Amino acid sequence: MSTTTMDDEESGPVIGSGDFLADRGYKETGSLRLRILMANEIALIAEARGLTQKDVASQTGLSQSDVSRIVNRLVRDFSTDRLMRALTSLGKDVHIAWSDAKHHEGSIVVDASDNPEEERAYAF
Amino acid sequence: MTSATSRDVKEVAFVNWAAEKAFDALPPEVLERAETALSVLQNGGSLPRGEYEALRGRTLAGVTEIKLPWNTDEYRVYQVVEFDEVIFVLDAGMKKSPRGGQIPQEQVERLEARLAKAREAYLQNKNLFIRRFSERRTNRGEDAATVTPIPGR
Repeated sequence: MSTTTMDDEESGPVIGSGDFLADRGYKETGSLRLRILMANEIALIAEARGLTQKDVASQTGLSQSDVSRIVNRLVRDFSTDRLMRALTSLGKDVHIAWSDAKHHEGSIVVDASDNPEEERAYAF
Repeated sequence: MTSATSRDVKEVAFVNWAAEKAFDALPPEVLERAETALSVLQNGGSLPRGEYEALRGRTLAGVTEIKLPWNTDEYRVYQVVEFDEVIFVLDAGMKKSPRGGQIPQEQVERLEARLAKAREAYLQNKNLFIRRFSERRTNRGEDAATVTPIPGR
C-alpha cells in the first residue's frame, strides 16, 4: 500500500479530462474500449452458461491462457477481429454500423445496451 | 483527448489524492483489470456477478466493490456509482479481512467518510459534470437523427 498523508485525505477530488482510459495512459481508447467490452461480454457469457475457461477455449479455438487474459479484460494484445471471432464462436452476432462523425475525425462507438446475456446473467 | 471528443457515458474521478494514490499502487496486472472494469461500468455495462457487488450496510448504500483476485491475494476497488454523469473511486487495495467477507471497521469508516466527500464533490462540480456528460452524449451521436438501415440485398 502507498503512504498517504493528511493532505492526500483532505484534498479535493481528482477530476480528469473526461476520457478516463486516456488519462490512465492508454492509447487508441476507442478501439481499446471496444475490445474491453467484447472481452467483458465473453466473461459474462462464460459466467451465465457456467463455462470454465477450458470450455471457452475449446468452443473458440483460443488457448486457455488467452481465454484467461480475455476474461480478465487484459486485451491490449488482442485484435478486434480475434475477439469478434470468439464472440461469434460463442453464438453471438456482432453488428457493425457507421455514420457521419460529429468532428473532423470520427471514432469508434460501442452499443452494448441491447444485451440479453446480461439479463440472463442476472436472471437466476 | 477530453470530454470534447470522448464518448464514454460517465466520467471517472477520484474522491481525493489518497484514493488515486491507493489505486495507482495496485500491482500492474490488477491495475489494468481495475481500469478496464471501471471502463465497463462507466459505459453502462455489467461486470460478471462474481467480480462485482454492492456493499451491504445502510451507511455504505451506494458503494460497490470490484473484486480482483490475483495469485493468492484479493484486491478490491471501491466506488460510488449513484450519479448519472460520474463514477467516484473511493479506495483501492489488498483486501484485509479479519474474518470471512467482513470489511474491517477502519475501512468501513474510511469509506463512509469518502462517500460523504464524494457526494459533496458531486454537488460542487455538478454543472461541470452535466456539461461534459452532455458533450459526450452528443459525441456518441445520440442526439442525431436515427439512421435507417438499408434493407438487405
